[in-house]
Amino acid sequence: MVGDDEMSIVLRRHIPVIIVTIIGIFLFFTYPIDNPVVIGTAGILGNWAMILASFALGIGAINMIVIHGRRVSEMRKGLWEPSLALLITMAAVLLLGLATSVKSDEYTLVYDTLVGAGRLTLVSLRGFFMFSAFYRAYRARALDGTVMLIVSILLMMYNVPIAELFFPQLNVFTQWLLDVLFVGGERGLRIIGGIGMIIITFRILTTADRSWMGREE
Amino acid sequence: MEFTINWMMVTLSVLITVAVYSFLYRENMAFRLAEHVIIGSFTGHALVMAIKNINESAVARVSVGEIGYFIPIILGVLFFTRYIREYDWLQRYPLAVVIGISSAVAARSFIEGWIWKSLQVTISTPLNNLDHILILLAMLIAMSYFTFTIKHTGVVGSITRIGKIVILLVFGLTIPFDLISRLGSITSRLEWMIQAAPYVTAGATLLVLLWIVYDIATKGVTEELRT
Amino acid sequence: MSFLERIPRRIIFLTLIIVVVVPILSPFPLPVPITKNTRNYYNIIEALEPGSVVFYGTSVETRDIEAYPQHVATLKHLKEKKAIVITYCFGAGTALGQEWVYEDAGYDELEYGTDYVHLGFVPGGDATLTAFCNDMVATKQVDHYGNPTATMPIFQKVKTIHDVDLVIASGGGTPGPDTYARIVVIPYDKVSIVQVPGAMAAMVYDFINLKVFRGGVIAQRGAVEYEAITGHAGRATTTFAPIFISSIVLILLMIFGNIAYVSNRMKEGQ
Repeated sequence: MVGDDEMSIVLRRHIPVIIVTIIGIFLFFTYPIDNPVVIGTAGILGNWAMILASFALGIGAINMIVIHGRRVSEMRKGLWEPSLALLITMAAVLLLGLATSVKSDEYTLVYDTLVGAGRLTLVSLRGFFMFSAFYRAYRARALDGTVMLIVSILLMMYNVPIAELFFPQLNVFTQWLLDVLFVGGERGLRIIGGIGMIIITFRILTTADRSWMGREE
Repeated sequence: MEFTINWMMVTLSVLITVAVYSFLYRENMAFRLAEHVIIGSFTGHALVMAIKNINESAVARVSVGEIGYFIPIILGVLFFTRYIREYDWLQRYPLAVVIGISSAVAARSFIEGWIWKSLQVTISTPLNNLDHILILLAMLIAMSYFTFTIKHTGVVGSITRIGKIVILLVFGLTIPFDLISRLGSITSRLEWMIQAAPYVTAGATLLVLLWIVYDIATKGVTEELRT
Repeated sequence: MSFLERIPRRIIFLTLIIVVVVPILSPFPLPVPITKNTRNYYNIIEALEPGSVVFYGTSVETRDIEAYPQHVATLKHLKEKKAIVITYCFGAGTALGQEWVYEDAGYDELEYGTDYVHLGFVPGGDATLTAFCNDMVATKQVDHYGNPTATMPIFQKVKTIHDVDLVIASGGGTPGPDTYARIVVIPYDKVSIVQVPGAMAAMVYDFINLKVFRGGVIAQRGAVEYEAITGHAGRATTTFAPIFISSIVLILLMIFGNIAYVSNRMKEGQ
């Protein structure tokens, strides 16, 4: 029926957009108002955001289960074994955390040796490739590349502190670069980036951008 | 050597690290397994913390009479309707709340914190000092590179070219900081492995070296190895 | 000469492993002059009166050699100044990491709930932090260990961010130090200092210049300086030598690689 379709569109598209706009405009404009009701409402919304963020973590985990579960069930060559390892580890850590608690010695040991250490290992792997890339990619081909090459070497000498110990004048120059040209350039980039962020958020709040809703029905 | 749980977990950690580092030679199944174990463990941990937080922040409040906190619980559950095609539009409700809140807070804080503060300090700083003048100039010149309403030709073109150099200077000074941080991560892992389990580390490393020697002996020094 | 331009990647990796492992096996001390950012960071904490309240946004997820020693040295210094510490974590892993930091800094000698409190993981980023600034107990009703915050002695006198004397921001990503700057420090005009790993160093230089942060411990070098200035030599100091050697090796590789590159291009040009 026609009425049902209209009602359906209101429920599926219009009401969510209205929610974004009302909440967004309320929080944006009421911030400077020192009123207990306003502050209290903003506080409640902040707590809701915290709870919803926790639920959103669950979405990430379910996506993982779906993707890797499919690989295991289809026994995809070269993929199903690592996927099975991922699912088993995820389940083991989850069960341990729920059965004991995050404060228990067992969970702390697993976190220390597996979760935290594993994450640091993956991060450090990138370090090897960065080290190699610095040597292979930083070439004095043109003015641009030469500028990046020289300042990168200066900064590395400043950081560890080769310049300070052996070339003090170079160190003074690098400190000046950081305190003046770098600060100015970084500030300009940040202002531009901030303007971009504000435009994006205003487009969402004024419903000009509805891409967050996903597919059209 | 006592085969305690602690020893076993430390050994597992060392083996996973060596397996990950075997990727430096080439991609292999041990690396893939280790990588997936790490990702699985971190996802499991994130889930544990999320459940703990929902329990403390929402369920606990509802159980002491704050009925209003049923609303975020219901909204949170609606997130999971994305997996049911017929009802996946329901996830737009919790998304709308999250996006409304985060957009407003972000917009306000970016205006006040990033833009207004930067402009206020820059404009109010007296230009009685070459460094202050250069900071202002560097800021304006870097920003000019991103203005596309005027064609980058002539004088404007020269300014934007200088702007590009300033931006490259910023990147050239930023990226080494990241590298030093990564070198720290490498040092941290290697130092821990050598101190916590030197024999296991040496044994695992020897295994990897033997595998490399075997690989080169059977396949020869390929073009990929030469790059 | 052309070899210097194209050393195989795997040789580079092996070289890096060797130059990191050798100083680990035979460590040597390095003199590290103190920079003004670290000195300012130290002076701000040194000027705290006993009983000052410090809101500390922490970011230790792993036992690394940058963030971990920065946090341990800071907490030891705060303990010496008898400051009251409230720790707050954006990341799921940082809540557990912070437990180790408290242990290494000797906080088990102090009274939990009165001298310090660990609020743990608080998801939601900007929005939750905004709510927390206005009403701490309503936003975080239980701490990391499950204890109710409403009955804690600290929260009898610390209700909002206005009751905090010093904000210490840290972090290696987003949310991170810029989040604290935008949501807490600038709107509420709080005295603040920052500690960051190298990856976030670029951002904080400008905030330091804007006096948003009055001092900063930046990257591992900052951690080494801070350990030296507070007299608590720790892991950052003992593991700085590998960073030093590997940086020298990389600088030499970059210089010689470019000399080889330029000379090869000139030969090709001829």
